[in-house]
Amino acid sequence: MAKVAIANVKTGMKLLKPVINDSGMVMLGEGTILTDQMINKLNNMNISFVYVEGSQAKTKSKEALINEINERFQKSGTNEQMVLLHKLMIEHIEETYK
Amino acid sequence: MIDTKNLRSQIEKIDTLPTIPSTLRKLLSVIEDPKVSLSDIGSFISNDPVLTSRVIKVVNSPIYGFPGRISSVNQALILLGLNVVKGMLLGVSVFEAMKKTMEGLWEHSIGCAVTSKIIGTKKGLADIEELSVAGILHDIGKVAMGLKFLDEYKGLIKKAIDKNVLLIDLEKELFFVTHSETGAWIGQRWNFPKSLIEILEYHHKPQLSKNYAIQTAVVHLADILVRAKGFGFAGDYLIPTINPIAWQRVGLSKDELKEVIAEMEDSLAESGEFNLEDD
Ligand SMILES: [Fe+2]
Ligand SMILES: [Fe+2]
Repeated sequence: MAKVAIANVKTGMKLLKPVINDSGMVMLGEGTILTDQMINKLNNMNISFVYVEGSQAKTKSKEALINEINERFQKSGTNEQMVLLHKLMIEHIEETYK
Repeated sequence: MIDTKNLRSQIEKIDTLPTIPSTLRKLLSVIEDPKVSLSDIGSFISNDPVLTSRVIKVVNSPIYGFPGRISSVNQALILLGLNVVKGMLLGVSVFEAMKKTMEGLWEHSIGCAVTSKIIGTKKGLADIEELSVAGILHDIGKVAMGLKFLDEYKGLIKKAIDKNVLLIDLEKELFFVTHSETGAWIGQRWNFPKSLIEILEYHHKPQLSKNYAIQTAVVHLADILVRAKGFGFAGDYLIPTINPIAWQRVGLSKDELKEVIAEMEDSLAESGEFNLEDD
């Protein structure tokens, strides 16, 4: 779960907690996949954060994440298993951030 | 100066340090007693509101991930059983000490608990909750060394970062033993279950584990995965190398490892927000 500022919310993010307005009414339910329209609506509401699926890392770019992982593996010892782990972690990011 | 000759007795005596919270000291006296019962532990927890709220938080966290919400200490005790509860209480009580020794060690430890659980579940292992406990406590030797020799230990961490080396290698240079041994010492002193002591002792040399080889291999691998992900901080910015024998013992296929990586992503994100700070 990641807490994301409204300014950084993007289409396709999935809400893990409902968005509730000032009068306590549920505006967007848990599990909602955000659309451009909904994001516009959020911008007009008096809230600053939403909780969405994925890690904090989702707010980083794909390239930044891959660089971090490469750097970490480069510094460390290696063998057949580490090469596999490195490869699968990069694959995972490539697939998650398509 | 560090007196490494008497290191073991100094480490074993850390429960008498003035910096140890009184709750932990009381708790140790309760769980050190091999005849202690679930109801003794239950009343010990219930007498302490801070401990009660922490236990409730932990059992409802992704570390255990029970469906539904657990709201009473007794319910938690029945679900978890004596050994798991003892381990969890220790984890909960060393929280402050972990924060003091190393910012990020708590996150590293719960990350390792969650990941051990994911791997254990994937491989259909028994006693998954005990694996979680081992994950929380696997680096408790670092806490012990940090509590007893705070300045020296902080110096080691700084050096590990500056020189890009593994903290464990620096521990060995300065103390002639590592947090694996010191962890096992306090595990023996505090009457941890045998499986837990073996995991503490061999999580960086998993090929030497004889009686709990798979469990030790799982925690070894979980530790590496959490560090590869960059979640939490364990004293340096390197990833220890996977031991091929441990790798074989766990026996994850390529596809399974990939699933583990994906499942970690969600669970770690949730645990990232999981903190025991009292509100
Ligand atoms: Fe360790
Ligand atoms: Fe570790």
